Amino acid sequence: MPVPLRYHLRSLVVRRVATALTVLAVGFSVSILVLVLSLARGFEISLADTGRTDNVILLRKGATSEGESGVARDTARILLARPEIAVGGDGRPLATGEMYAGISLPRDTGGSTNVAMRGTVPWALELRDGVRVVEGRMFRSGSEEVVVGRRLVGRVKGCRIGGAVECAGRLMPVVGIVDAGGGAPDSEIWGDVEVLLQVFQRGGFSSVILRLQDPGGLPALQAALEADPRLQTKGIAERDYFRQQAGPQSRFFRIMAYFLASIMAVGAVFGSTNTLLASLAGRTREIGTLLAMGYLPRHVMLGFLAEALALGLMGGVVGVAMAWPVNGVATGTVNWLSWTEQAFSFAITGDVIFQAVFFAGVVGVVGGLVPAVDNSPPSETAGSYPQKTE
Amino acid sequence: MTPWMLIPAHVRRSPLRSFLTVGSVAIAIFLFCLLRTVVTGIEATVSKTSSTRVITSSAVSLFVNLPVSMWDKIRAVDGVRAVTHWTWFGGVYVDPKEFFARFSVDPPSFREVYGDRHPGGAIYLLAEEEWTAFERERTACIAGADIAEKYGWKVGDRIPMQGTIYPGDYEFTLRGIYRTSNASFDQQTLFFHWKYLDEMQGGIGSVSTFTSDLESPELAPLVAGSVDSQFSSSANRCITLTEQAFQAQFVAMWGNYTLFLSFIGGAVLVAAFMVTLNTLLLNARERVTEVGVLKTLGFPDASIGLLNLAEGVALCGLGGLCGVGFSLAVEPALFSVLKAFVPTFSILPETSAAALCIATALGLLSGAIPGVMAARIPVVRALRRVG
Amino acid sequence: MAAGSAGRRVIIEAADVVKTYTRGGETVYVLDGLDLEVREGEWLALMGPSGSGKTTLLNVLGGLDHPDSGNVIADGEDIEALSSRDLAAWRSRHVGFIFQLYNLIPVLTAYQNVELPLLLTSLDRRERDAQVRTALGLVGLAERLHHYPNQLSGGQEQRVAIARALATDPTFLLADEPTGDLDARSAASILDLLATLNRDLGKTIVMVTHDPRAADRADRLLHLEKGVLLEQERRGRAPRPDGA
Ligand SMILES: Nc1ncnc2c1ncn2[C@@H]1O[C@H](COP(=O)(O)OP(=O)(O)OP(=O)(O)O)[C@@H](O)[C@H]1O
Ligand SMILES: [Mg+2]
Repeated sequence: MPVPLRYHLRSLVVRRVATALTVLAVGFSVSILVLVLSLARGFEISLADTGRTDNVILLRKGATSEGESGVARDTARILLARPEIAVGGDGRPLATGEMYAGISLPRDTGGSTNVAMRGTVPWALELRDGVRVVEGRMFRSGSEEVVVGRRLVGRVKGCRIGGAVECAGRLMPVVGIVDAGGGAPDSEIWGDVEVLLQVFQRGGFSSVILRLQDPGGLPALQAALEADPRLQTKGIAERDYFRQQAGPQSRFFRIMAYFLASIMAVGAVFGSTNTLLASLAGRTREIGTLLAMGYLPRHVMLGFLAEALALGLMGGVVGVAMAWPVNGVATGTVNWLSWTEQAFSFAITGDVIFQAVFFAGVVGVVGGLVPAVDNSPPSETAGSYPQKTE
Repeated sequence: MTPWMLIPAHVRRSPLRSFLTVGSVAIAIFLFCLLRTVVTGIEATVSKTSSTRVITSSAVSLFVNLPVSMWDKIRAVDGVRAVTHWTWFGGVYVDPKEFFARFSVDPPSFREVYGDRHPGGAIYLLAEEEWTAFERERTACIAGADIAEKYGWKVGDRIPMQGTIYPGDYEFTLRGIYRTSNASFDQQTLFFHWKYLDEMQGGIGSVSTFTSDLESPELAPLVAGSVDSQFSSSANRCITLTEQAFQAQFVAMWGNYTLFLSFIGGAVLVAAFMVTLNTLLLNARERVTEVGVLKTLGFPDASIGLLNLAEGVALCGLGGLCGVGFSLAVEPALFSVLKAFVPTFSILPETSAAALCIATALGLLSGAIPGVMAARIPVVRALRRVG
Repeated sequence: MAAGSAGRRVIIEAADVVKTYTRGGETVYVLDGLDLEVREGEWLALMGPSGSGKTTLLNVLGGLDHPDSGNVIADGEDIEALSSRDLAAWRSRHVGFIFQLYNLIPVLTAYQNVELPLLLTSLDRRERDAQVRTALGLVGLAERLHHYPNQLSGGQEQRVAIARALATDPTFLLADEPTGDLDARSAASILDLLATLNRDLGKTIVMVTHDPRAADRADRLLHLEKGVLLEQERRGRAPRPDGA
């Protein structure tokens, strides 16, 4: 026969200033958690959900990213002739050598940043079918034209239709904007691979990308590559490659989020414990009455925990609401593995909200433990006034 | 005229609540110190740089190399005392996750510019024999004290490394473990011979950057101008920046981290403010009758307000002291955790002072509200109020 | 009227005091042109139905509350003319309050509670100590100096409250139902204490009470009804030793 929940919820309403301040204090901790988690999530989305599982990126053995990798033209020729490669609509094998480089470009807001530049083929959209041209058109083969990822627009100088990006002393006209739905190409610049290889004075490709005919054919391809010592090449599914690129950094963000939030949580627990202790001090008589009415101490204690949980959950909701305005706000950081600018948006996704609210609930319950256990008129409350004046 | 004894009396009668209040302020101040110190640590990498060094890199990007043949030409520029070069190696040590910076350098000129041969004193601190050993042996390397400690390296150890940008299996012999004399330079980098790299690759002929040490800081614009214009028409256009501007690029690449961290710091403090304000308001609520009694006895409104204010300042001030004290106590432990992300982690006196000021301000602010309320409440109402 | 104080000087004089409250748009005259004179050394009891305005009147006399109109002259001073700061100072010198619910400060010991009003005087620590011990000795609690209010019985708490009211040797005491919350035995001993203060120390006391037995102990009894005071015939009270 627990104490009706309504009784406890009502007490939160009666003490509304204290309730509001506690909820806000919990809310601030939660909003920090949401903020940093949504940063981590946004960063992950910008990489992790990039690419297909049946696209394979071939890199030089030992290389951890395209920037470090190199594939000589001879090797590339062998790789591009592999039988596992799928064939496109017009009979063209879906594979190409690519070039990858970071170039230094001025930011719109001042200073400069390194932007990933990818040399590829004009029909690259057939290979990377998650990417669309949303404005303008694709670059022409053999020209110095480039297309830019939509997230670069407004962040990097010249990244707009009609603009131009400076690369190795040349001004390369921007003819299109591509959208990868939040993926990595959103912060890349694409141009014709042969032209870019010349511009960068490079003899070979950085990597080779190919579409598998058989979506499950990756292990076989890997084994074949391993067996040919001339190649010194390894293959990774495109999707896994980008996920790896996000790995260490998003782990860091997550650790940071939980580190900050848990320290703040201790503060919030202190705050809500205080509120409940104070509310108890003012309610000794009420509790006495409940016990006299036949409620067991256990029930009263459960009631307090429920009250604490409600405080915490409200804090969680408020925290998510306070952090909500950053959802979708664009930002960017340097990717630790490629050393290029990774533009992304804060993403308050369902799992972020779930973690935040769960966290808030835990804060609430922990905050309620001391007062709940302590509720048989403790010395803490005996010193404060009201018992006698009530 | 103010019954000060009430403050310790209240604290003594509800020690748990007082502790929780002080604790929540202490936590906020601790976080503030932590976040602030990360920010000042990042800023230090820029601010503590030398003004006599300028760095030349490719105008295309940091990831594009310059031909090593430029070396002699830069050395010949007026006002340049010595020139050395760095080349980013990348590479994998044991596992790609074990990440620290590896550069190939030219040890003799490196020693001139950053070592004990520099007239202004060394940045990288090594014993004379260590420098000599590093110079002499083609596969020698030196490593920062922080990574040496992390991996348990000792002088004489062999360190295998797999090339990524420059493929191949390398093996270095550790000939020195350096510390740095300046917060702008980390102790987490491994340096080895460029010649070894060049040989392994069958001649790469290029380097990432050149560092020129000038005869005086005023020469920087002149030297930069003359170096950049020498190569402006060639395919290897370059850009020469002061060491400070060069470092600032890296910090800028991180994006608005400092702003983000400051923002979090602000939220932490606001949350602490909510907690203390709440506690003080709850206290005030319980003490309405007390206020009525004090007023009846003839204590002036102002001193009753002051009492609340002082209680806020005392609780928060104490919290501030605990927070700063705790931060200072765990500083070394925190640094060992944060090493991978910040070059230095030392709590500046300014940071401690700011933290204490903030704690006091927090106390004033959260004491002022119940203080004004207590001062204002008419005595009759305070006495009539029950519970 | 008790003759004992008839010839002495008037220490509190309230003239034409009006105090109203508005409740639900309706104006309630709690004090409606009330006149009152209290003489030095007099023990005056006030009775009246609940809600008749007794507490309000005490508050007005003690400078805690302001009347809407009318004057209160206490010890020659028009307290309505004082600023709130001066009024507070005036209270600390002239008035000792005793409440029904004692109103001790729970976090302070008996000693500290009594010392509290003395902090407003220019006495130094040693003088205060002497004063506190005297006051607590007077109320018979010399043995309970360092007890907290919740370690004392109701009667003892009220004694501490009386000691606190006495400590500064005020011009008069205002007691609002001082025995209202006490059992008969404790109540009787508090009344004995007040009688001693009145008789032996010559303290002027204005006491609100609902208890006829308490009222009987006073020199004079007034009834507050419909906002004014009515003199009440004494009902067979034994004449005081010094009385008529
Ligand atoms: N702040 C206020 N606002 C409105 N009405 C008030 C206020 N304070 C007192 N009153 C009213 O004034 C009247 C007198 O109150 P007061 O407390 O003086 O009565 P009392 O004679 O002391 O009663 P009791 O014997 O119950 O203590 C009551 O009717 C009360 O409701
Ligand atoms: Mg009353």
